[in-house]
Amino acid sequence: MAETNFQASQGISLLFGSGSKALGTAHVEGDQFDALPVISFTVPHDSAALEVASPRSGTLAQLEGQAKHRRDANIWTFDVSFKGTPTAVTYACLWAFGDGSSECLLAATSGIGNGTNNSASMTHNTAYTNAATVVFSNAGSDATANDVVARGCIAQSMTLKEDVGSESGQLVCDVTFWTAYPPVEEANTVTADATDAAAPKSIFSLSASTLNAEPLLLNSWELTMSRSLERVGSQDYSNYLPFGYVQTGPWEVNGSLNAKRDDSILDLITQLQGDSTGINLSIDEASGFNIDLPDTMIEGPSTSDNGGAFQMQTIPFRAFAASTTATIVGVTIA
Amino acid sequence: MKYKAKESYKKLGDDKNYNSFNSPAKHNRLLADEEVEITNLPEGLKEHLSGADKRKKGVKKNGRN
Repeated sequence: MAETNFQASQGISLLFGSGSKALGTAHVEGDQFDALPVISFTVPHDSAALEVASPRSGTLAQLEGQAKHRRDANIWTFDVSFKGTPTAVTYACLWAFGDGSSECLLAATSGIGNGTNNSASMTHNTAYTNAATVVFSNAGSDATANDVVARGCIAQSMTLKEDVGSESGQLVCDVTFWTAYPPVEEANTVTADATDAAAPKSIFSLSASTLNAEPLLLNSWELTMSRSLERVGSQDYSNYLPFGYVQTGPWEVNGSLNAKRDDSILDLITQLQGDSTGINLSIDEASGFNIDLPDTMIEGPSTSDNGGAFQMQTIPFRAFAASTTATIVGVTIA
Repeated sequence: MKYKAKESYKKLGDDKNYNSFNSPAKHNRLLADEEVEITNLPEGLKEHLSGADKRKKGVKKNGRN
């Protein structure tokens, strides 16, 4: 007979542990745990890629001896979408580029986000502040060890977005977490030290969004900051713990705007045609929320959209740093 | 507003410096004597940071003493 326990999807809640902790060690009771406003999530599970060696000539089957589980190369990713409250967004910035205090700056020097300028690595068992422990309460498969705990989690990418036609116009923050430490199913007893009940930012509160100082009325916008990460080997072939993490490529920052097609679009003709010159993009509320990208270029094709009552213009963009120390994105949120 | 670290900031432990406010990036920039844009200065750090864009004491707006 089948086991009788089960997990209700809506009964799962997430807690995010923070504070300085040795990479690979989970935050525990006594550390800061926040119940952030999660909209949706995926749950990681301990599993491994299966590598299959070449078959023997003359044997038309795959034999057991050909197979090897590559736990030494494992990484886990999982997605969490948050309501865009100040606390959720600043935590996301911490997990991504190591600056979780407004104004959160992604700069050319941010590197992997451990706080050291231009650092591309994090080492196992060294203390860092930018890695989270994520507890999925009630997501475990066991009747009693019914929580899933993922440790050493940093953000591979984060997206901020607002849309008048989605989520009531509220700011949404999507984070793809990445870890090289396997998730564990256990009976976890941590509780929230703080529950974030703040109001998310809203596209209906935007007051002055501009591209190259041209005002834009935005129906939607999104901004993605992402990088590539890899684990560093395996300390042994029994516990399969990594030596650490490395960032293997630059931060890439891109996104798109969907704006009313008006005089501002014509005023941007030089930039839309392409002049290889960075321009400022600002997405602002009157106070308490400002995204500033000092050096963006429109990344064609930009299209005119006529599906609605009036014409809109989609403007894809890519953001750069003006120098090796300059800011790529500044997120002010309070 | 931009801030710089006073010497006292550099002596704070990780439980009191910007690491405890979730910003290892700001912490390391302050240690390197860089100016850092801060929206909401944490109460516990006010005495350890100085406003980098404050006018010098005794210098009037027109630059004359």
